Amino acid sequence: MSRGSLVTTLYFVVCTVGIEIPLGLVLALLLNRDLRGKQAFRFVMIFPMAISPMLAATMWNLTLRPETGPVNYILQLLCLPQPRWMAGAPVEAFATVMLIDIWQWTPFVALVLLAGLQGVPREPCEAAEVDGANRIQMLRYIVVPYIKNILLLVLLLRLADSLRTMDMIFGTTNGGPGTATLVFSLLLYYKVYSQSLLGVGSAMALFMFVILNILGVVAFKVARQKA
Amino acid sequence: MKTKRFENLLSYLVLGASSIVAIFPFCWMAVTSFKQPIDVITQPPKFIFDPTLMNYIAVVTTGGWSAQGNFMLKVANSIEAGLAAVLVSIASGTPAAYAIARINFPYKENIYFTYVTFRFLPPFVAIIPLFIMYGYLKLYDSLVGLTLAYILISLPLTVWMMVPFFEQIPKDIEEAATIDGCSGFSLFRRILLPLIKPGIAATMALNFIFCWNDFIFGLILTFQQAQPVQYAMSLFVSYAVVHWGQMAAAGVICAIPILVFFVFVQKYIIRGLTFGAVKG
Repeated sequence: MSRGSLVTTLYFVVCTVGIEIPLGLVLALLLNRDLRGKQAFRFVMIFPMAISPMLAATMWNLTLRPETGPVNYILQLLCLPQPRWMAGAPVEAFATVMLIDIWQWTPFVALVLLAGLQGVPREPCEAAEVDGANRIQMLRYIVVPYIKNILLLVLLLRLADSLRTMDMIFGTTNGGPGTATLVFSLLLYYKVYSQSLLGVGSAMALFMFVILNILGVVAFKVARQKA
Repeated sequence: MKTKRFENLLSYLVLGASSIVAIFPFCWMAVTSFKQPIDVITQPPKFIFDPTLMNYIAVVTTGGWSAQGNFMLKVANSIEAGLAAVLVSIASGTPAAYAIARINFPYKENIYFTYVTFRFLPPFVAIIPLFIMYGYLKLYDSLVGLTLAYILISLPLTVWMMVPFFEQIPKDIEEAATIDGCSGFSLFRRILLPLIKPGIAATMALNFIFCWNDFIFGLILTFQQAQPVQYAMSLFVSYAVVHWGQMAAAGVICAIPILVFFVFVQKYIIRGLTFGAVKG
């Protein structure tokens, strides 16, 4: 069972972070354009990361109700299939928690990367444009090398947060159906709280601590190097 | 020129859609909290209805469906423990941040790293020992215990928020003050503190939000007496329940401090979440 939860956690981390980073980069590039009123978009996008994961779970519980929620109603109007979200099959439930995590943390990735993009000087980009580089080449060879550190930093932070995720899953699927969304931290909680296995819990927490501390060391090095 | 306009339009579309997605769940929750039970479960969902305050009244007076008693008591618990933790952290964290930003001493980087580690700490590493100790110290389910746990959140946050503020102050100011005969603690109190007052205010607000948002510490270290607000709200969450309105009302109450401080802290929230590494 423990091994199962590690695999679930790994799936969860890979899927969420793997989507959040590219999606966040796209949003950051859009926010970095000269658009009027982009401050308003930035303002709105701060909201998901300011609320607690528990509150996010509550909101989405209301919004994604299978029978009477607004999202399924819209899908029905568009003649699209209506999933049962967190109350559905294991795959559906897993995808739902994933989506909520992506909803909450993609803006965070975007705004951190935006801070990095604002530090990219214009001259090399203009020079590359004169030399006939296309958008993808410019992104690949000029922009990404400039924001490499910040990209690594946000990746490490997201990996760490994603590995620890517990409250949001606790509030939506509670690990179910079966053990489909039972991630490591949630299993740890049940070991400690429901089964009073403090020893097992301590061992699991220490295991997590070692992994996260390695991420922390690297992140600290990266952050201090930049300053 | 034409492609540029097309691209701008596309950017607006994508950003607009993401913004709507970002706030739609909250808007829906706010709308639901004013609905009568019968309006909550209609299909298609109702957008026009008779607004009612019954959900809020139920939540605030009896705790509604969660049967945990007055929700406002939980709000008070969160406010008290949060404020106490914030005050302790500001009082001790600000000098610590100053030392890290300005003074050179042995093992400085290690100490700074220790503060940063809290950003990467799995909560249970702190919770299990606290849980055992609180059993001996009779702090389980008490506001003092909750406050001590919250300091684990807010003290590191204070340090890593304040270090960049101190680093921004030009060294000339301190040198000039030293020449004029102001040094040591009075330099810190008379010259530097007034300069970073706005930073302190923002840090306090952010600290409070982070403590308010905490769920796991409250879940394990309290039971009923000192139950914080996120824990109380989680008791409304269950997909087998019909009392969606009360759940929404509890959720809206949980969001109030964030909405109140939002304009104030939105500039600093990225810095808080990236342990001060990104100014945002």
